[in-house]
Amino acid sequence: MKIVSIFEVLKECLLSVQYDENEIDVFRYIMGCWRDVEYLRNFFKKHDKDLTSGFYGEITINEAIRRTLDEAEELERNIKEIAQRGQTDKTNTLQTLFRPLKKTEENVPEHQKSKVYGTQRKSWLRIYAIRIGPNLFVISGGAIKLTPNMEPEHLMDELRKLEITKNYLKEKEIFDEDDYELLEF
Amino acid sequence: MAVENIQEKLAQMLSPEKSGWLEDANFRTENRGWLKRSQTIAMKVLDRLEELNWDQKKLADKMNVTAQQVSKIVKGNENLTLKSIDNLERALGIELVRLSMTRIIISHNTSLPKEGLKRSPAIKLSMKLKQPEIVYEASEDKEMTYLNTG
Repeated sequence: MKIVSIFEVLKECLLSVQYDENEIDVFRYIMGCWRDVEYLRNFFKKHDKDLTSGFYGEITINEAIRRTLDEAEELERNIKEIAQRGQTDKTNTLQTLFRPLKKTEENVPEHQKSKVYGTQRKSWLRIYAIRIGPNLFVISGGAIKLTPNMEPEHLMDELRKLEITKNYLKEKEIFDEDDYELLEF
Repeated sequence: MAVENIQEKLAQMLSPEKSGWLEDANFRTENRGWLKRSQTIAMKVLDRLEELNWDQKKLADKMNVTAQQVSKIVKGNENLTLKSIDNLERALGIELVRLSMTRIIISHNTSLPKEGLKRSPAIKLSMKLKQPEIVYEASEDKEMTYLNTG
């Protein structure tokens, strides 16, 4: 897997990579998957054990599909709103949506791996990104997270994609770990 | 590395094409109503295919449409016409959409259960009649409900 290009999702704040096996950028791709009933049904069938493990309570596959469709809709609406507000209100930015991937980290470096949560309580939607500057994010992927940890294979894949994206950005000199403090500026 | 440098470098390496997500998102917002119905139909169709142990190709054959058309339907992203819904229902042998406001007026002497009866907007229609009537109403979400307009 390699990254072939970076797309501007929202002007000067949200970017998304496109992997060589996809025809569209990964952000557009996952937002489409989360609105695709057939994709969601296959996903929940495949991860049926995680779905019914009790972490999110008792839920059927069709309920899980509807919940995902609704959460994705709300998440999309929030990102659009932030994009519109950001043009006039510099305090309401994507920074308010993203949270650190590792909650224990207090000193967040510039290239902090971040994830954006769906906005409902206990949402299972995740978008993974790397912050390379103030309010500047590069999305590497996204997932439906049914477990409290990152052990399932599809979530391990997301961690690998974060690393690939990070290495790609380093290679292109978009960020330099040694210089990250300057980016705070 | 200064922030300006990052912006400069990004500008050089950004794809000239736009993401396309915003157009998708706007489409989904503008068409929210029928998309939700289409998604519900897709869930019912996939449930039924599993019950029948059919694949999408078999459904396409039964409906006399292409496999691509069935693929769009099960994604919940197809603006289905009434003709397509009828075709789907016949092929699968189930009801996918039940229209509301279907009313059948029957005599008040009919022995229908009286518990839980309530007034409904249908009273305007039945009050024109001399005798109290019982209106039988079908809605999209519920089974047949008896409504006493007397």
